[in-house]
Amino acid sequence: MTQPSLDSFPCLLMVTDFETNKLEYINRSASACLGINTDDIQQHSLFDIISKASSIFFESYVRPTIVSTGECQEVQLSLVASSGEKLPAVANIELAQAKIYWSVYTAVARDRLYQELIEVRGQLEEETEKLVRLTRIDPLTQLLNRRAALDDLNSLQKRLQRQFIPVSFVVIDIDLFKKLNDTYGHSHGDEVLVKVATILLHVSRASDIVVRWGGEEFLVVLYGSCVEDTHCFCERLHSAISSLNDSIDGEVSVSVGVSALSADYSVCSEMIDNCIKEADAALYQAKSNGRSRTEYFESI
Amino acid sequence: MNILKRNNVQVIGSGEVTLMLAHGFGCDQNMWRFLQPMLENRYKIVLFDYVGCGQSDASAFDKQRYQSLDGYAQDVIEICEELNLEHVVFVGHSVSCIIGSIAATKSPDIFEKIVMVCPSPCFLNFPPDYFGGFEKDDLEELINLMDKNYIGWASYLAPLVMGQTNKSELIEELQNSFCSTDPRYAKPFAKATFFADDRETITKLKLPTLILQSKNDNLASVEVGLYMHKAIPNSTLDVIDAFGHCLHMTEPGVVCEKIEQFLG
Repeated sequence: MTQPSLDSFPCLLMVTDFETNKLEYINRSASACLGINTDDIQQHSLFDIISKASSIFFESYVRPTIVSTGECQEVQLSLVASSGEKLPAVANIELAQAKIYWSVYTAVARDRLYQELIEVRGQLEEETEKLVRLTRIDPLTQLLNRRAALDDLNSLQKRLQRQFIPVSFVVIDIDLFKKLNDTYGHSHGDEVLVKVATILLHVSRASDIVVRWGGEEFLVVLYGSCVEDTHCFCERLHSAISSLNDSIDGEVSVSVGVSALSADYSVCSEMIDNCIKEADAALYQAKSNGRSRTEYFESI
Repeated sequence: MNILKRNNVQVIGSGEVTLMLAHGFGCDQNMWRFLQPMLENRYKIVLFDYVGCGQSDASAFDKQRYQSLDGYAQDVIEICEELNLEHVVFVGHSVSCIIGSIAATKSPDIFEKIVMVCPSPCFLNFPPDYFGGFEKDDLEELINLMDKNYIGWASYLAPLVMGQTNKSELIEELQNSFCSTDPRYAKPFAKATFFADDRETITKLKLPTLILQSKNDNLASVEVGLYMHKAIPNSTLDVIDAFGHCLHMTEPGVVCEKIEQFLG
């Protein structure tokens, strides 16, 4: 067999200058695919035959890689023919003596497959997000459920250990909820839970954690909230709850217990648990003191 | 959170002046390996990887924080605070020039001077006032191209197939290749980089700034360099007669000389 010529190979072979990016050699396949006459190659640069997106990828990934390691394998790029048509391709690239050697294979089918994979991945990510949401949200009130809250509180604790920010823990319990249920039925009880949840979302901010903590009990974690802010929050809450009574059967009120995280707590790993226990104790005090009121752990 | 571990921070040399070298998109601190030996005898050098790049702690990647360049600027500020750095000379490549500008605007006391290697405040064209070099379609194709390349490099599908991230194995695999970056983190960085418009940000930069632009750079043209020079009040523009977007890798001697001149 006689020595085969590079023109015999069914792939695009090219040489470009590392510095100037000028085309210095293309074989017959490349010439046919790109629509460039081999006699005119000096007039063309690498950036005439790859898409603009590919040129960014080349400059920010391929060039640093070949400078450091001498080669870059299986890079997908878009070739641009002289007609303007784009063609997906995969290249193996090597740097030797200031010249870049390219062996390029067109990859139309592979590109289509990858596009499908990207779309499937997108769908899977979307589904996963939906599922994650389902596992985190209480279906009745649409607030965070207890499990999601524990995750978020865990992250909050890590953030607070890094940098202290004033945080208040507010435990809210609907007064005499069992009586409401017994008197007006469970669907009425559900309606009250939903309305109270809506009020909680309305009076809190996006950065706060608002949770259905269990049964008729809610937890709101006020992030970056000083004592005065927390006081205002509780007043707004009681006022909004009392306005509920114009539109709903039965008397609805809430008792509230508050504990504020002090800076000394920030070194303690159980700080959030302790704070919630303190807020619970304050809530118990609010119930004992006649309900429909707020008590602060610091004052009891 | 150990910030030095999170950002794979390396401190080299012991000069009085601290140079913080910040890599650009698509790579990590390895980018500086040609320039670093020329500087380390005279300066204290701080190298790092942005979260999601190189050998950073990927578990610290927060999708929301890193969806804009502000999150990366926060990395820079936190590293400086952790190391108690002052009078820092920030040397950024490409997008890091903008990240450094954001950090310097937010925490002006930390930084003293900025060196920008091939910067661009915005890659998009906004005719007739500004030509960043690219149309929106080009940049969307880039994001798609990145996706396809990462699928080709196989690591991308592994977490989905396995149902969970097997981080140690992936990291080991990534360590073996230069500048390889996990696509889950590289794509947000690409979006934050290439769709950002920080033309307004750079006008707020008050520090003495050296802009090193390559004469033949497909990503950040000389015109973009001139735009930066006009927009940054206290800036000097030096157009290097060279090719490509990575002057610190291809022309480290020239870049070193320019930095030394600038610092006096």
